[in-house]
Amino acid sequence: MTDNILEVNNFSVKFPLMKRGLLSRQVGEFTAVNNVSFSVQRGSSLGIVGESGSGKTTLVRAILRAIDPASGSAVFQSHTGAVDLCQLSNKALIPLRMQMQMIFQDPFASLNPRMKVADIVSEPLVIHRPEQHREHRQMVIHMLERVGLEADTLHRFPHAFSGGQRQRIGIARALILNPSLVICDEAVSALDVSVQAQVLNLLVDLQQEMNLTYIFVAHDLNVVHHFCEQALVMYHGSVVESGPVEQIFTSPRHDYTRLLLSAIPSLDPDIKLSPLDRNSLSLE
Amino acid sequence: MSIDTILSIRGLSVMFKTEIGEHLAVNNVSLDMKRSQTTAIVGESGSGKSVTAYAMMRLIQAPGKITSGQIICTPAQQESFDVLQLADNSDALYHLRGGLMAMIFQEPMTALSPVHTIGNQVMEAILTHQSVTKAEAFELACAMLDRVGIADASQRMQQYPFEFSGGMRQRVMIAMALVCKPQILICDEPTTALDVTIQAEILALLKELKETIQISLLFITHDLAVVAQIADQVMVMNQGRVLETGSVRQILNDPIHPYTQNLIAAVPGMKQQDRLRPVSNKPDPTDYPSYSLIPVKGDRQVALPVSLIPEEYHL
Ligand SMILES: Nc1ncnc2c1ncn2[C@@H]1O[C@H](COP(=O)(O)OP(=O)(O)O)[C@@H](O)[C@H]1O
Ligand SMILES: Nc1ncnc2c1ncn2[C@@H]1O[C@H](COP(=O)(O)OP(=O)(O)O)[C@@H](O)[C@H]1O
Ligand SMILES: [Mg+2]
Ligand SMILES: [Mg+2]
Repeated sequence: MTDNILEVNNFSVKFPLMKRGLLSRQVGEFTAVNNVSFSVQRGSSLGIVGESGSGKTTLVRAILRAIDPASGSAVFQSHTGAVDLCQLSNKALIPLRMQMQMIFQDPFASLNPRMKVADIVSEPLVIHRPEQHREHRQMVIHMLERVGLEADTLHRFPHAFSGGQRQRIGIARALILNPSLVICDEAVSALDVSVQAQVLNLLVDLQQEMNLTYIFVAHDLNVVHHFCEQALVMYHGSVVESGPVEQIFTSPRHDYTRLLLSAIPSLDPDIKLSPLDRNSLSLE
Repeated sequence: MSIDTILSIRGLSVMFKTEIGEHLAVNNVSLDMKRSQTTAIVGESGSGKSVTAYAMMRLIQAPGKITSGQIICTPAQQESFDVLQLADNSDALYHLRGGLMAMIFQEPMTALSPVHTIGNQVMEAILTHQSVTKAEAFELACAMLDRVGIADASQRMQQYPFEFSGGMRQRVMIAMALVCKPQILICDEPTTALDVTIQAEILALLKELKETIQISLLFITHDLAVVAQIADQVMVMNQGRVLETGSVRQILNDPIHPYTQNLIAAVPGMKQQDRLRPVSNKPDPTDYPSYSLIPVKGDRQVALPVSLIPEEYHL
């Protein structure tokens, strides 16, 4: 029996095209995500790859309703049953937000720099679990421990930490509410390779301990190959190929996937990079 | 120093003075660049790669200071000289920065003026370094943009940087770097901000240039796979020090230093590994104590005590 935590169907996101001027006005629409369908099995990791601007971030933000999709459905298996995220009012979404969390490349870009680690990690609890305020401190300490940070980090500011530690704080904040679906948008892209390896290993451990499902957006194909079971390849807003990662990497069917794979440099100096010629491919 | 060495750094140290104290960003670094080859410096962020490159062009500014070392440059058909001995504001230093060496960076947008057309900027670079007329500069700029793979160059010269994609901007930077016919091109993470397909195109361009115009490249990157594809010689840096040098095959296929071994093991490979093997993330110099580089078999060097170097590498 398949147990899909998320099923996305015919999902599109559009942005208005504005004409600049004294009075800006809409002159058309730009389709950033075009009729995308996929599903994610509970407990698995789905990778989304594609070049910058291909619509990866827009897709995942619209699934979480940070922006509104133009059409389609995104059916999420919540603790209380299946719901179409696209049909819910903002108010009805609030309890569901606990179950779906996002981890960003720069976890604190949108946060007040005067917040200490304790505030950052406990903020979701303050918003969603105010009734448990007596236990917040203990929950935060426990979560920090799980991501490999000492309790003495509680009263420090995040800018005092290295990139890898900052990302651990971001992970602690995302997981403190015990979500079931976690979306990582380029979460390890800015990290040095050694630190990236530690964070990836941590995400794998947490997935097992907390029964997490990941959607893992990355432009680094090797990272997705390592981390995910399934993947989507996006190009100009559309999914051009999807399936088991192993199959995509060993027998790609779409020309764009072939182009991407042919451009990955090998660690072996004797396997020379010979990217396919864009002009000889049918990419759309 | 052999005849085919275009640049030889000996015992270079660069110190930064900050509120927290003095910090040796580059600590007794030595490096040889062979003429018409690509030498790569690879290391994680903060290891001192960019500071080493800036020192080569005498671009270190306060609070930084070059505290010791020599940078011996031997241009084709010219006498050797020490870059660090050139007087500030001297003609020789001007010639070094504008003629002998050129540099391209990760983010071309910061080096390009947003308010001038691409054509004006390339022509400006030509006019400051060559005595040619404006019309000749236009033709040269066109030819140079064409040379780095920009189609419809004369049309695109009318455009502004924001109208160019990241990959195209990097091609413009390469064109501007090449107008003064440098003998050394320093590339500081030139493909790090680019999509993988565009990165492949820029790497192919740099390789082709190296082969056709006999330029010596210093290629700085944190990406070992990029090193594998572009480098002839490799130097591994960590916390301001050189831990290992050798040919690209020696470093990637047969690393001696445990740091290099761990760095390679931390790269997610094409084969699905069960678990990555991260390098320790403690910024603790005692992880890789500061031994000095010693020569080992195969014309390579490693910063380890003899007792920790496997016997088969002993000279
Ligand atoms: N708020 C927005 N308004 C208009 N266009 C946008 C907006 N956000 C993203 N886009 C456009 O949508 C496309 C997809 O962007 P994005 O989802 O960020 O791509 P990716 O994450 O794959 O790099 C891009 O062309 C981008 O310029
Ligand atoms: N302007 C500066 N002021 C203070 N310290 C600096 C400055 N520039 C570089 N450093 C120090 O030099 C070290 C090496 O930096 P850099 O060469 O830029 O590293 P990378 O290997 O990432 O290019 C860093 O750890 C940094 O602390
Ligand atoms: Mg994105
Ligand atoms: Mg640098």
